[in-house]
Amino acid sequence: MSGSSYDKTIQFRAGAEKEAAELLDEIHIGGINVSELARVGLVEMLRQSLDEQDKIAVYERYSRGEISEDVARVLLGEKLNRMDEEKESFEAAMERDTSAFLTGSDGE
Amino acid sequence: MASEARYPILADTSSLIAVANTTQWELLKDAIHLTTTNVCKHELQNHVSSNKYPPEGSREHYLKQGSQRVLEHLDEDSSPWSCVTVVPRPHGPDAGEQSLKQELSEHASSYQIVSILDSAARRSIRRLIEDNAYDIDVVGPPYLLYILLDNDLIAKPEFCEATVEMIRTEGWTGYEVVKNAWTSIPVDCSEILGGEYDDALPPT
Repeated sequence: MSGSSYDKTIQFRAGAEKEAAELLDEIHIGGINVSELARVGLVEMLRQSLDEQDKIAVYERYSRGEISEDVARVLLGEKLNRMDEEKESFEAAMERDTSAFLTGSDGE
Repeated sequence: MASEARYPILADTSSLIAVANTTQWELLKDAIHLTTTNVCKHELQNHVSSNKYPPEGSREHYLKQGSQRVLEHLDEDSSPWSCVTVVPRPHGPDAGEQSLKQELSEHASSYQIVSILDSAARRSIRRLIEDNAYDIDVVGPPYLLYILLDNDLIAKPEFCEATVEMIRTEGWTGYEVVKNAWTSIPVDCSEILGGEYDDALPPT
């Protein structure tokens, strides 16, 4: 587990892909941010590559503190927020005095 | 007939159907106070009347049976449940959810808990609550069973089994929903559930 490995440059042999990016940068008004495109594209492809079992494995590792939230977020995206939100909500509700919700609590 | 009193728990149509179809229904219905809206009651009536003879085990049968139980309970003279009237009355497929929002906008201070089955609707109501800084928690129907557990009216195995029943009958099968259902229920049911309950256990 390393919190910083994703800061490292990811390299791959870009042939036609690099040329295509350069061409688009040239013809698109205002140019394009190739690095940004690559980052967004990578996240998208990583998420698409995950099947249900992979998602479970990622979430389980995140739950056990084996991978950082940033990494889990790259792979699971909004799902992570939603699960955390549900958990926090239920836990907050558990903190309440539930005996006040009972019919016997008001002397009936 | 249920009164128009406001109790601290506000529940939607699907949430009520979900608990009505568990084995803890008979206990739950008389043990806790809760409030729903006239719009949700109307949705329950629709479930009952739109399906005359749904086949046993079908989704329609499940909706009809749960709705019938809830309606009978609401119609009892001494019902500990109440039904409040929301005006203007919202229409459409998410009318029940809208009616809860309307009710909260006007009477937020009466409520502590909103129980709603659909997770997207829960998120939507949470936003309303956050925007207005209301002190209300929005949870799924397993929380209603949790109230029984927290007050020693049922034991852990009964709570776990009823929650599994709910996960099954609601068809919560995808990873996210099953995992959500369990991570949002901080009660460890893994020692109780095994073998025959495998399909409804939190994925590992």
